[in-house]
Amino acid sequence: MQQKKTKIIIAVTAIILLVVMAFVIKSCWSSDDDRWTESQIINKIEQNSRLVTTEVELQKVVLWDSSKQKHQWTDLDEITKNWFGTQRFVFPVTITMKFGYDLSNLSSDDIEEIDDNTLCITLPKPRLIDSNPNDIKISDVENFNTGLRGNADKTQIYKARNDIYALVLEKQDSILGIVQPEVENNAKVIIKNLLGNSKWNIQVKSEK
Amino acid sequence: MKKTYIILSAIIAIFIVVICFMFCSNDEKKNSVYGDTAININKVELKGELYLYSEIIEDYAIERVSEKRIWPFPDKQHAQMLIKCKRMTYVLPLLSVKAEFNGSTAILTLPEPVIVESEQALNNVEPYLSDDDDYWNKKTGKVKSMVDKKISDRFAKSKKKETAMENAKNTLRALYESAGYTEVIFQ
Repeated sequence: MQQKKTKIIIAVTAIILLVVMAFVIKSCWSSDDDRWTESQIINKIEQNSRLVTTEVELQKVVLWDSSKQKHQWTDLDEITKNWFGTQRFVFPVTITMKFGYDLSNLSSDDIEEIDDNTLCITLPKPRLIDSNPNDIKISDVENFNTGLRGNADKTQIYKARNDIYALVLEKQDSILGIVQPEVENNAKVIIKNLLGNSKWNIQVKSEK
Repeated sequence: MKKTYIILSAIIAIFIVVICFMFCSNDEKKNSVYGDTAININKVELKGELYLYSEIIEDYAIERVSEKRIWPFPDKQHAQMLIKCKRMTYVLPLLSVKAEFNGSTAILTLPEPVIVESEQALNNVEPYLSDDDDYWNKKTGKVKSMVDKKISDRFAKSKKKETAMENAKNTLRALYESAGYTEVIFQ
């Protein structure tokens, strides 16, 4: 009888130890998320010479639907909210993207005299230089709720705008692929404008 | 009997460990909450700008208001806070650069650099907080301009503008010298 008790106590202790270990592991993992990023510690300074040739205005509609939300078991607040109805809201996000070239690595090797009158400038591969999402107007947000769910609050709207902005930035290579001919052509126009009155006939090409 | 206890304990322990690891690793993104809408290109236009000097600046502003109420109720205090992270850049409008040529000398007249702002995504931070969303509905204009002004004031310093202008001159000098001009004069 005494042996049985001892075994049960050992088993229970082992289980408690394992649970504690699991929680310690979880807390170690989550502490990684709390690390400060560079931009949070000090403002980032860049001295650069980047040529913007093309500005692209994009629009994506945000369609937020609480019924599609995947919850973790700890999100009791959100799970409970969904028992009382569905929250949906819609609004447009406009994003401005600027494409161009990083001129900081441009050397004299990239500028070539083809003949006495023609100069050929080879630019690096075009890339995204800057981007900016529009400011949100609360009047642009349309709410479609069911049950007891209220309208989206500003915290949700800002978060949705930022999530969609991040999603669009992930697609920057595809967007650049579409507008690349325009980016290259505009580079020719700008450089010809700068050197246009000179003796040179200017040719501009991009690295592939 | 002994074996049964050991096996039972081992099964329970493994079950608990597996459950705990499932919860630990359940960091699935919640992006599926958004409808899969297309990205439309509204406009593509020529933009001749030379980016010269940038800083990423994060700042916040708090607006506090006291709501008057009929006696005997005390006035109610309200507050809202907005955090913004912006890339502030001094930019040279290249299409306004005037160039004249005299033999192997290029004479350039540069316009003043202008400030271009672009908002950056915040890292796991709720950008907006308020004590009463219904009260602050459509009253966010002031807090936005407060935080915009704080960030602009931190960036718009004459030393940074001088650095930007110096960078513009160096970049343009390199371009014109590569094009065969031995002397580049800035007016």
